Amino acid sequence: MSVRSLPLATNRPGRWQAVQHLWQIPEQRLALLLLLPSLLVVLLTMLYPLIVTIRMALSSERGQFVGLGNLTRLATTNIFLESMSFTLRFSAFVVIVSLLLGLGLALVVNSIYVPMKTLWITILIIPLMVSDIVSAVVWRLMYHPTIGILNYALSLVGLPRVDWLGKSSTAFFSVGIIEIWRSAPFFFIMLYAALQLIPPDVYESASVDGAGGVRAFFDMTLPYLRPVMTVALMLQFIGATRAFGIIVGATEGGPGRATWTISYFIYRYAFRAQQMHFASAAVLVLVLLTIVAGVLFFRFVWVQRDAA
Amino acid sequence: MAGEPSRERTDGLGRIDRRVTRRQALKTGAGIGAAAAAMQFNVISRRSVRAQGATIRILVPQGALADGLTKTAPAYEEQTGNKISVEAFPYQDLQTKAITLAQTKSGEYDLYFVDDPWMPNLQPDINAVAIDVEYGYERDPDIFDVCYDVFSWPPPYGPVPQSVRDLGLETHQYGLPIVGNVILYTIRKDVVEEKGLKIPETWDDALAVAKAVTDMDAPFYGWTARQAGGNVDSIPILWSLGGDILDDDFNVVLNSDAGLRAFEMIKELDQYAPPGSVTYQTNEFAADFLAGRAMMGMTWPGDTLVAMEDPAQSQSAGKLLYMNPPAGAPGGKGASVLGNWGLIMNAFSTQRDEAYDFMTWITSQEHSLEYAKNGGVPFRKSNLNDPELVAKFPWYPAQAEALAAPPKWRPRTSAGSEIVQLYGAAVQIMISDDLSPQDALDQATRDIEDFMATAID
Amino acid sequence: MQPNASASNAGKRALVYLVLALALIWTLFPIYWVVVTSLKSNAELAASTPSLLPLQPVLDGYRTVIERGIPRMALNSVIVAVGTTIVSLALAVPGSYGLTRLGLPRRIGTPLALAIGFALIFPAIAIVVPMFQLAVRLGIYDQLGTLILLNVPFNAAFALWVLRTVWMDIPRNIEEAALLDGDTRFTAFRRVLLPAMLPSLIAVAVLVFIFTWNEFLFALIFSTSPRAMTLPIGIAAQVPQHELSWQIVAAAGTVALVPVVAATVLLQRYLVRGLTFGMAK
Repeated sequence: MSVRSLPLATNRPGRWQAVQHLWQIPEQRLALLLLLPSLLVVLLTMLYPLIVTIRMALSSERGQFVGLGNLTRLATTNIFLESMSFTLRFSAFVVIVSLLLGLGLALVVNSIYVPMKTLWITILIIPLMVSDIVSAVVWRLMYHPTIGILNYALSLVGLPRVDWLGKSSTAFFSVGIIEIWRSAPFFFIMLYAALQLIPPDVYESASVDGAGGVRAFFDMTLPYLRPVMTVALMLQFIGATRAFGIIVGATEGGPGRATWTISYFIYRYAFRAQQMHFASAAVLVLVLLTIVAGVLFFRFVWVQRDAA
Repeated sequence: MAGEPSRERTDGLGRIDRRVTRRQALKTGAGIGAAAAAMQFNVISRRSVRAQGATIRILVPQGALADGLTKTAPAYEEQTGNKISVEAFPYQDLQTKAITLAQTKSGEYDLYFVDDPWMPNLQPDINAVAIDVEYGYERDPDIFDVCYDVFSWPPPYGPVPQSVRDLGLETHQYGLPIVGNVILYTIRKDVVEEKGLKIPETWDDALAVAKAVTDMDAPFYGWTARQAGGNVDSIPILWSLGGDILDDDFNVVLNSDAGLRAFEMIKELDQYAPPGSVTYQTNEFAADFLAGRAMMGMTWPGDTLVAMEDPAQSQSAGKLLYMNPPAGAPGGKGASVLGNWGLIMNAFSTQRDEAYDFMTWITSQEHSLEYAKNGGVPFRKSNLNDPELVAKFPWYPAQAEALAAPPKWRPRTSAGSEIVQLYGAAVQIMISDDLSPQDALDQATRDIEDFMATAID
Repeated sequence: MQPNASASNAGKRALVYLVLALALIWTLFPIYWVVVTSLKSNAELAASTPSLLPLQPVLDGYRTVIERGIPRMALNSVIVAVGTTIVSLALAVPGSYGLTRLGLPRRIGTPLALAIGFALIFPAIAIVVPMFQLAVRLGIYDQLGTLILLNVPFNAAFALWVLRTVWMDIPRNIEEAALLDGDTRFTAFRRVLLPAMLPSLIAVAVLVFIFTWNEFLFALIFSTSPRAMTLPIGIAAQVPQHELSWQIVAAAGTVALVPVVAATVLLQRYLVRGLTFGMAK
């Protein structure tokens, strides 16, 4: 509490007094007391490691103080830079394709031609519940050069075989597909739920105006979906930048180190190579990016939702 | 608070004693050197169980490597009344787990069944028991010296990292060999004869043979290799052609003429490898030999040779010739890579005497024949030259020759495993056609240098 | 006009069915393939062309999976998931109630909610190194309770956020009416509010359970023995490197999939509600 309230007090004079004032009112004191355990657990889980990480990042593996040395070295370490670049490109690819797939499926299932909508929803959200490691294993069995079904299917229709996980370029897409398999259902379910909230009279007035299908979508459906879409995009993008289990399960970072993500980098350095201090510097970069993403997220999305 | 219910359950499974001990040990010894570690021993040994019926817990690699041990263990159990319990993990996991267990001073396992490159990471002087000091273990002349040397710490010869030299430690025996692995070259001698070819003396010869026999449609592949990320099976090619990853002062010297020739050779051989072999692991490698569609490759005795020589499941059984890797140039000598596995006694074990008893039992001359018959990979001269065993395991003479050479070991630094993996990653990306041999050399050099810049050594 | 429209309707219908058929294959075939692979023998896996059905189904994969202690790991997963669910809800239910229903002014409530909400996007990998060192120092490394402690904050934050929107949707006056009837806050909560939010509570509980059941990173780093290894670790450990058999990992994967697919089918309505942060009712 005290950690959190200090910046508040300096940011906006009067807020600390407001808290003190609240404490006088039994009902609001109860509110704060009920909230306190969650607040403590969640904040300590983030703040304690953060402080330790900062301290570790400032010293070398032997414990000598190096200041920002680890961070500047990160900036010239190819493995890190390429992991970073892969993570961002990979996440962008995954969320864009997932959004399109999810949106398409939501519109299709929402259409009047589909009976038994509940059944379809049930089936389509299954991958969302499957863990990253299991998804990776499941797809790896299909990508496998000898026992996999995909190359066999290609050969049946006369197409050349593909090294699904054996080249940087194909591995990017192959791993991306696994993540999309898990992530598209999230867009589907979010957008499908959002479609249910659109008042029917919007369309009635549209059909009176004679608006065609495509134009009706862009003019009337999309504006209603946009807030939900933004939330889903942000959450899934942030989720995709954390990809770890999928990498461990599908490629171990290969071929070469072409599919190292930032999380995998941190894991490899901290726990396999025992460079916990250097890995801590990478953690700081990741946390910094998360804070930026978080600020953007809450500024533009959360406020919007609250206002809505 | 949150953990209470499940902790009680865990305790309910009969682990309470050990856990309390371990917690005390960790409290006393959090994050420290040998002095504190020695204190913990006292705490522990007072509690240790002397009675028969102890269960010796061993961390082992998954798959055939540990077959010899697990299949021979019942005889030990019968003889002593002690039980052997193994926990198996695949290679990468095992490495992380073993090192983490050492770091956390865990007493969970009494013995670690580990690969020799992990010795520096295990910090044996803190985390393992020097059996020559504690138990007066003496070397058996029947076991190859190199198999003892690789489980001695600090390394008795060869480059030693500065941080280890700074400690001024005396070299002691911290483990016993349990798998006498050394990488071998294997080739289908029946095909060589049938096609009127000759057994390769150099890597150029091997390339020519691979080219001559490859038929992608049949299919029959001239070259098969494990090439998944971080694999080290190409190192004999590098070494045989005169290249190396590090010099004696731990500088990266990969980017040389010899290094380039080696990378080009690896890449050329790959033209005759099965499609998709860029992600091959042991299982896919072996499957090609079992199905009789592989001509030659580099292999470790401990992995799959028992299966590959089993007529019931292998089309290649009885047709393979094993030898030290081909040389770089005519008249030269090929270099093999040592890859022994050893049994290391955990310094935080609560049953050291029992563990010592088992590790000397299973590695003894007396039980070595049984161990080999059960699929264990010998490290004894007498086993590898035993006619009865050689008839069954035809790679033994080649293995004996390679171990006597002796083979080189991988860099003895705590960064060694990762360095070799970064090398393997560059080889894999070259084979995937994403980088040229020169670019792959550059990437490996840069990666390894970057990695070592922040490593302890 | 009329026949034209119905022709276009038929076309649309065909398109919709085509999309659904593809979606069905895309969603379910990978799961089918893992089940099929789990039933194949070594010999069949070594064949040069894979078959769509196991020619001679064998249970070797499952036998090995049992030998290798996968059931024990599944039990560990259940313990961690149940523990995490209970503790997370014990934190989140009162927390979200306090945040939304006791008239906390927005300028206090919003920053507090944001602080907790930040955990939703906080990277789990960022806490593993310090927490690993702490767990070792406290002597609680390699224990199920520690895994619960690690999983709780992230899941409590998730639960609190979903429940927050749920509370906001329950009209204030039903609670006020109960209070006027002479209920205390607690009895009003139990008698009126709890039944109103029960479906959402179930939704959150199921999701937290599944998230924890699937959790990989903490389990990987914080377990080194079967005492604390959970199912995802057991599965990752079966990916063959030094052995020949892919059916083992497939069998382990199937074991992990069964409860997840079953939960999805049985509890679909609740899941959708929780996943959409209460948007879908």
